Amino acid sequence: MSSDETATAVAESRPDAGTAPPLLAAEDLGYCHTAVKGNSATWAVDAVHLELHPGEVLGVVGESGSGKSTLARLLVRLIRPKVGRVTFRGADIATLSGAGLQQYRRSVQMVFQDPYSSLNPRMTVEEIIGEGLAVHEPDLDAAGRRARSAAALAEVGLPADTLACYPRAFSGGQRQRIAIARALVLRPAALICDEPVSALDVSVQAQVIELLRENQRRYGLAVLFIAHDLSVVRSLCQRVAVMHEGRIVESGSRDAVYGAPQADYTRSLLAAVPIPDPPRERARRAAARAALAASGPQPAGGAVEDR
Amino acid sequence: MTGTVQAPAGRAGDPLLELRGLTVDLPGPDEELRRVVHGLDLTVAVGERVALVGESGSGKSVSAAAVLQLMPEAELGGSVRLNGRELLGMPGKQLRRLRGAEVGMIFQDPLTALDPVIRVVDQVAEVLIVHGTRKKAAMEEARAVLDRLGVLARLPRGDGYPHELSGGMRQRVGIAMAVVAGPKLLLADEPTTALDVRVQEQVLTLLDDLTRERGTAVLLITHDLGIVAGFSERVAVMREGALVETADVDTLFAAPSSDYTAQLLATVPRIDAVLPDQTSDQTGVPQ
Repeated sequence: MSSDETATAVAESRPDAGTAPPLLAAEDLGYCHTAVKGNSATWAVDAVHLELHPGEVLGVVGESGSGKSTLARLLVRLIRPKVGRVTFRGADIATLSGAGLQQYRRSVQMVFQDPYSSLNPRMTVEEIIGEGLAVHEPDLDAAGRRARSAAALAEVGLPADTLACYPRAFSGGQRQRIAIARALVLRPAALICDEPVSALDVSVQAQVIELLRENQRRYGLAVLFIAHDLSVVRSLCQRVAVMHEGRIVESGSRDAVYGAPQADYTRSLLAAVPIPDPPRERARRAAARAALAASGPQPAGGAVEDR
Repeated sequence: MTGTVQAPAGRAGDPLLELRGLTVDLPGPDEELRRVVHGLDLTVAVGERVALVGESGSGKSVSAAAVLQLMPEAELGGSVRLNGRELLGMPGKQLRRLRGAEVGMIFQDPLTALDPVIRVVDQVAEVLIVHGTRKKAAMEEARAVLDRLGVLARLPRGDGYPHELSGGMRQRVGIAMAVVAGPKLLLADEPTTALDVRVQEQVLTLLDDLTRERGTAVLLITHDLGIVAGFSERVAVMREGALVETADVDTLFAAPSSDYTAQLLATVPRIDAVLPDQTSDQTGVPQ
């Protein structure tokens, strides 16, 4: 499927396509890292079309090096595209300035993978959560900021008396909830989550996912959920895009991508996911082994080890 | 093999590794010792595959590291027996002979487990050389194992350094180092956690085949219940430094005896889970 067709399929999967503009869109987006020693540049993100609509949870799955994190960084303007553009409510984010940029920065928040490096160890929880409020709601006084921070903390299930604590006092799952509270306190329209649960235990993973789901339902929050874990993405997302070597090789509704994958690459990814059910998993492993023996050392969907 | 303390090989079903009342105390940030494993009982039979599962901080990795006493700062109590010999209190020299030759270990992060400035074949051969094999024979054996694992063909000029290999290939080197001296027991601590799902599949299959061919028992430490389901025969579940339950793999998944295990199984997102129908605005996607 070419990226143009992919974009069409994504747009058509929404009944309101053509009427309601997407919240955030990548249009023919490309990014390459600077070439070294005469090597040709590698496109980390290549001709990507993607639309995130208000109130939806869109999953982006792919292996390491597929360009998912680079895509996230482009969407929040941490890096600038080499080709194409990112639009926020129809406006190119590269051209935003002043109040428009402020509005975009506030409306599109990001949650990073590692809650140990994404929270400043020298700031208290109150300072971490309140920092965005100080920027975006300058009229709010300290007491108002504290009340809003405490409410945000309560929403992620942490007691208000932890406002005075430093990040070191918290476990990984608690830190990730603080990072989410920092994002949600500004009532953003979209949350870009880059592997938000991959460092967490399953029970904590489930809590964080439920938290995202709740915010989507209650506030119509749109979530772009980037992850390598296909099972987690399936449990949360309504639409899914599969990335491979910088490109989106397949996208569609969750049921379409998981139930009837069209791209060989998607099929090979899905076939390799372990199933926590002994008879089924043994059968899956046996089938995978047989397929490997039949097809030679490389499974369908491209080389697994090409370095 | 010369220079090793080789115990008589057991028969399948005989106990190989026996942990009895194992306790591990580790110094916390304030240097005070804290008990992180509270009297663990666990047996791995000759040739058996046992999975040790639990969430982070449950004590699963620490318990495995205690077998080879890889944490000098830890205080160990109870009993760790290998082929009937007590390992706790064993002099360092004897323990070093044991490591690699009788018990191999695979770590989560293959890059930090490998020496960046030593060639891959040399690193694998080194395991044999420290146990008394002559260099020429060790190099030949190392190449044979790396070839069996599909690494040799990926090495430029038939040799090379760890950085020239992908993550999956590096973990295969880790497996080669763990098995080359023919241990009867392999401790594998999250061996595929750092790998992409398709690479994980390849590495697991190789680990599976190789240990079956050699009759090697495996204690697999993992948080991934999907891997446990396909790889192990028996499962031990740990929580907060204590054993929650032990059962054969089919029983554990079908009828867990503890609430904790049942909850753990219910929480894991499954690729084959039956999900509610997608809401109306998601249907009718053209393909």
